[in-house]
Amino acid sequence: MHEINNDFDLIKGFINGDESAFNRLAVKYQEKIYWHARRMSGNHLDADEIVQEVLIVLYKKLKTFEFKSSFYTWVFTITNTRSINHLKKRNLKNFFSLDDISNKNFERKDVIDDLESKQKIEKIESALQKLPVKQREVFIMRNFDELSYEEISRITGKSIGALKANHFHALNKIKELVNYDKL
Amino acid sequence: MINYEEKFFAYLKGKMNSLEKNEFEDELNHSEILKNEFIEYKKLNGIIDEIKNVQLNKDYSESIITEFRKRKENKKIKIISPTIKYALASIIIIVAGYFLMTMTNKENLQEIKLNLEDFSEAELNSWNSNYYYSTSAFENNIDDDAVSKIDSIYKENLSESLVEALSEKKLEDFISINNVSDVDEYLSDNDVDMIYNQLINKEIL
Repeated sequence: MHEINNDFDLIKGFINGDESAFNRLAVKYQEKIYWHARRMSGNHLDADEIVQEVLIVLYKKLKTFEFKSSFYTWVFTITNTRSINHLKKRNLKNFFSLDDISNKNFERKDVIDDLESKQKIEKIESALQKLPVKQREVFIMRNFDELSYEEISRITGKSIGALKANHFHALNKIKELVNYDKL
Repeated sequence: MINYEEKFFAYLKGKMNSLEKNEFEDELNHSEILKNEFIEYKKLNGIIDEIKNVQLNKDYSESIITEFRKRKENKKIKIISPTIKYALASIIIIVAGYFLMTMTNKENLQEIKLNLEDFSEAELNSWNSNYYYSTSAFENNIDDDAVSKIDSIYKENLSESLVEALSEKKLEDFISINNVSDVDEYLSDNDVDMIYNQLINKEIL
């Protein structure tokens, strides 16, 4: 039997009670969600937590999705919002030392098999973490996800002018921070 | 220098038509600075292209949906504990205490005192006596002076936002919390935004 894999049919299927349709949607988008969360947060543990939060939000709100935007944009909006919120919560926790991330030895779970890629990813991640969040988000969406400024504007709710300005600063900082010879 | 990023991006992603492409290449050939900028951009873009499509390992990938289903099914009904409610309220008091420490505006303090009148004496006494439940969670991080400073600030003043945060409904929401370190899990996005923005405004974070 032909397996339905387009977003519209999967969403309709889920709304009509097919739980497996949600699983297929989740599997289809989980890597995109993970990587956006990871680039925003800079580590696997936070990214993993954000992925779970996003899936919960998607599960709860999918029935209200009205197909006014693409599902991809919707997922991205939720992922970006959850990532930023997670960072804020992390900062608050860190401030009150409830969860001292500066001393925390992040679990080095190997979710990337290729060692060479892993090292490059960690170096770029480290550079990304040195950017302010508003610069980081636009840089990630533009350079990693190849989104247009119009799409980024729809996702973040920020003006195109502000996004371009933030991207300009982000790009210059990343160029300074990344040592190409060591990559 | 003009921001050429959009042109670089469109050129490298094959989003230019042949006329635009020729014009851009012409520009590159006539400006050494632009050419160097482009080479650097291309180099960075090449690295990003290499790493952006790296696959997550199969085990982890497969575990995501399993974990989601597990969390969904295992959602426990939390045990109601009134002391936790007050401990949590105290945490918010400490949060507020921190930014109140930075407040010197008399008008604000006056307003805060007025808001404080909305609370019954019993409520305030109850919070006061339960305030120390939360200090154990902070004892390693806050010295005695800071605690007594926060305490005195708390007794004298409560911020408007704190009054809002400690509304009856909010306290009811806190009832389900059974781990102080999970406080953030139970704050709404608006609560997080409110606290975060106030701390940012006070240049604490």
